Amino acid sequence: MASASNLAASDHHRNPQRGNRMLIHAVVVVLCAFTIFPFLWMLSTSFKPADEVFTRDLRLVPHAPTWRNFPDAFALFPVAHWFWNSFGIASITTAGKLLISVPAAFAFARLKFRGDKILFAMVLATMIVPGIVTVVPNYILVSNLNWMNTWAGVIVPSLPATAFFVFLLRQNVMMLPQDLIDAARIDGASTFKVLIQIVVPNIKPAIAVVVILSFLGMWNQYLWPLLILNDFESKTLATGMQFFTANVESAQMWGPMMATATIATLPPLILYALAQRQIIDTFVTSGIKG
Amino acid sequence: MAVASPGQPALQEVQPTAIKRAWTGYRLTEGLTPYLLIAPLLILIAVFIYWPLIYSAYLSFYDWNFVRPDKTYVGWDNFTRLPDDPRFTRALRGTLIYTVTLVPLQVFLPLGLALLLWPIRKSRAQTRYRIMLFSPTIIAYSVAAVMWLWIFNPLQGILNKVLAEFGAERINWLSDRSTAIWAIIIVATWKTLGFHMLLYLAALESVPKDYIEAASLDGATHWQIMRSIRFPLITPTFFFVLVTTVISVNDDVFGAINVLTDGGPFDSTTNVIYYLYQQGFQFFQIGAASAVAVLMFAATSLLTWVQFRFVERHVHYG
Amino acid sequence: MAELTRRRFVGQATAVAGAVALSGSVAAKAAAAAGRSTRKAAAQEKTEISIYHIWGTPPGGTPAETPAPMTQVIDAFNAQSDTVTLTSSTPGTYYETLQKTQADIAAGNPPDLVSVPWAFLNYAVEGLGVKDLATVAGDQFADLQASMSDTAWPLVTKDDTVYGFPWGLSTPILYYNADLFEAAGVDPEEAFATWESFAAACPALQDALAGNPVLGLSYNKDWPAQTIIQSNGGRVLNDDGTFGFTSDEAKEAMQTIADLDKAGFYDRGTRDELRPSFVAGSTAVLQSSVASLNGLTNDVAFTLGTSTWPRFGDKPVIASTGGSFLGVFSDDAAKYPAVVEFLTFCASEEGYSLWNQTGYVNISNHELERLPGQEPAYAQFEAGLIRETNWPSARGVEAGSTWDVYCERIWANDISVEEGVNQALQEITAIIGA
Repeated sequence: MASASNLAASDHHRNPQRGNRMLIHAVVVVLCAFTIFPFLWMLSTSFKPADEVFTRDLRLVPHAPTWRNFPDAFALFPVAHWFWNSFGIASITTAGKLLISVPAAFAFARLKFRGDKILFAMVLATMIVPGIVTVVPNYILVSNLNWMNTWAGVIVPSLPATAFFVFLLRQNVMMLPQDLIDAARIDGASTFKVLIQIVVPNIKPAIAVVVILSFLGMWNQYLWPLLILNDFESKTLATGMQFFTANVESAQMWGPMMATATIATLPPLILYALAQRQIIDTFVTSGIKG
Repeated sequence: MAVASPGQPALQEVQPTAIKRAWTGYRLTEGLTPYLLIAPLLILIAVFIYWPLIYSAYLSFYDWNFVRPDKTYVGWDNFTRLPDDPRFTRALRGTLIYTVTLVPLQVFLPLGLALLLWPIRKSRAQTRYRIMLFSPTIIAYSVAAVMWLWIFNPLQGILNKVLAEFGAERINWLSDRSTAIWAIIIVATWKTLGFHMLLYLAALESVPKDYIEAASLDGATHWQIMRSIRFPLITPTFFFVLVTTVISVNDDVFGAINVLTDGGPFDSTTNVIYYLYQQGFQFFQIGAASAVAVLMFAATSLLTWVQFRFVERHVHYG
Repeated sequence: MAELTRRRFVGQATAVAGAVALSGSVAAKAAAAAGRSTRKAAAQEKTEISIYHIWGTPPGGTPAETPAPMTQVIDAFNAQSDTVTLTSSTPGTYYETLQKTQADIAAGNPPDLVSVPWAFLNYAVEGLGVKDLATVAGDQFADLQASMSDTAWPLVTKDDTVYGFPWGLSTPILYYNADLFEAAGVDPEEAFATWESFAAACPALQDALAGNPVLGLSYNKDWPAQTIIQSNGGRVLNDDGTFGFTSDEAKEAMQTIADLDKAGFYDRGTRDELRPSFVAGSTAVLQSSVASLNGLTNDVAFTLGTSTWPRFGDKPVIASTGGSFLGVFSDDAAKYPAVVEFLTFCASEEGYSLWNQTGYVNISNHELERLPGQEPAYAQFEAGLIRETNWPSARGVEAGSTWDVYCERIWANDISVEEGVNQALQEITAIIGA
């Protein structure tokens, strides 16, 4: 992060004692344990046979571990479909959100036009509307459009929830030096060209943030897909998983369910780990400064 | 803030002065282009957010069960019915409790964590720490809730096992009306901790180094620097987290409630949002659900306005 | 986790129906018909009918090794029929299945047969327009009736009309940890004889459990409540439609469980906690559906025992139903004979013996092997079952949910029986208006 000399100079009075640092590490480790412990149980249950799932003793490591739960999960329910649905819906929504928010952010940041302040306020105001408030009318709308059980029914109504991203992107566009844009203009570039060739390449970190947060949000979205995707095969991982244990008249398949949950957790986790640096960089440069 | 901070994308032309100008240089553009750029966003917002709000308001004056095409006009009934509905009063109570407990937990606790992580931010382990602390935010609520169900299990869950070691009595976390709501609160806090902490860490990191250097060269202590420079400069982030948390806190717990307790036991963990969901999708009273939606929107707008009016004045924008 | 609850089911089921009806759904109709028309062209000689049911995924036991019993029935039928082809699909659990049915009905393309839960008979008749069996079966109706047990037909009869073919019948029974009973020195037959003897056996069981509660009543509490109240001579809803849960018999019945709770024998855990606790061996007795037999046997690591309910003194145990019937929804009367052919096969010994493997009660008139553990269910069945409570009015679902909450509160001693029952009456009357 900071250069070595900077570090020496500014941290000289601020570097806590060795002992303090050890203490902090200890506390953080405990916190991390609290945070990931539930994951450990999920992981361990993925490898447990049915009769080891619920036992009186706390068993993190199964006595008779098995890989069966994974293929069983796919055999019991259309898990592969669910995975594909989750992936498709999350990816397309993310792409869609970028398509509508990047141009808008650019317009609000750099272009002056009539009503720009009011329109921006109207966009920001949507952050105040709690999701549940729009559920019933959107549900009616989606069924009128015949989009029940389709990706469109889940994706399109989720697209407008981008005020946060528009805000963030706008911050970043505002940080771009005016010379950059002026130079392009002098060369005769149209506004669109400026957007695509100059602005977008220079706000890549912010776009990375939007991609990750949006993908994550849609991957895990529960209520809306629950209402729209009724057919078994059109469900997503988040909404389909409950069926392993929902039918109380049959065996409760906790092992396969946790196996599915493990699979479901991997893509977002990997995505986040890879992009962690990008996210911090973006907040560092633009911040939430207002 | 007009300083090149670490991690900024490498723009060859970046000069401190150029960035200052970035904030002030607007260009007038001809005709339709700006409107074309914002049109898709505005259209989608109008159709899927503003129209539903208006339609909800309209539906709140009717009695409709969704299957019959005819709606019966009932005037203000859906609203006046609410105070008399014991379910609704319990939902209000839940909403209040969640707001009062979760807002501090989701706004101040992550800040404390960020401050805790701050001194060791350069250690090699910190990337791993961050991934682990952020991981609850990554997983779906349905999965998280199942994990917690097992932890809270009164007879073989680990929480009670630990309590038993200390000789304490067994607690029925999810089926006792006094503890169930705390179980939900714990799960909700666990889930958002990492995300807000990340925001704060980033805010702390983005404080310009020259300020810090200048202050420490003047002899300021670590704590003084923290208090008079870093704190004020992260207030915009703090304000943002505060406002967004107040708005979304009750929405957030929906996932946990739905999977862990379904509003129970005896409606002790329900809130207004869950009430809306039940009325609309379990009991089929679209009119009542819409009335609640309208009230929710009004209340949230009011709260947000209050924050902007009375709290924002304390925020230091660079 | 998100277990099927009746209210959620009715709510969302009707939501989709209305939604599709609103939309005018030309596209839906086209899409639904698309698959059929191509197949019709190919199989011109055989009439094609369709069935939606919930039993496509195996109800327990090793997955994907043997096809589910229902699938076996359908396959066997298709193999032996020269005139009919039956295509089946499992949209999901009860609620998805009915949602899909509604959507298809609204689109003008109803499935021919659907498995409908008993509790939704009213709804199927009034909301979905299920066809009455006499019309469908024509002159074969008498034969069909004769093939299934007399006790089953009243469950599908409303206003003297038979609306469905009885198929999957379950009833709440008690499962217990036989190994634990032995270790505690408790004789199950004695323990489960009457509620008194059960209460007397609890302390020994609790000791063996190191202080844990003994009995868990699963699902929505109003389901076992119905059986318990009925067994004391009371009713939740009287036949004339008035509320029966405020009667002395009902209150006495509710008090019995509340007393168990006071003594610490009753497991107050949530629905999702009760079953894992029993399976792990942390409690001794679990009430569940007889249809869970296979699943529970598979999941537990101890010897599983089953029993019927304890009696109130000398009064007989009168249990309630669970499960579903097959409803006919075809619009096209030309398909009726094909449907009847399938139903006849189901009722035959060949068909029904395949079905009998599920764990539901044998309601045919054939002498078939009973699965070990099913005896209590049969005892209850033969004594006569009462259909699950169908709360009246458009807000019936909410009323049922309110009653469920009060059952839970009364049993956990969160409120006294007297107050609980009266408040429930007040709130339910306010909701339904009856």
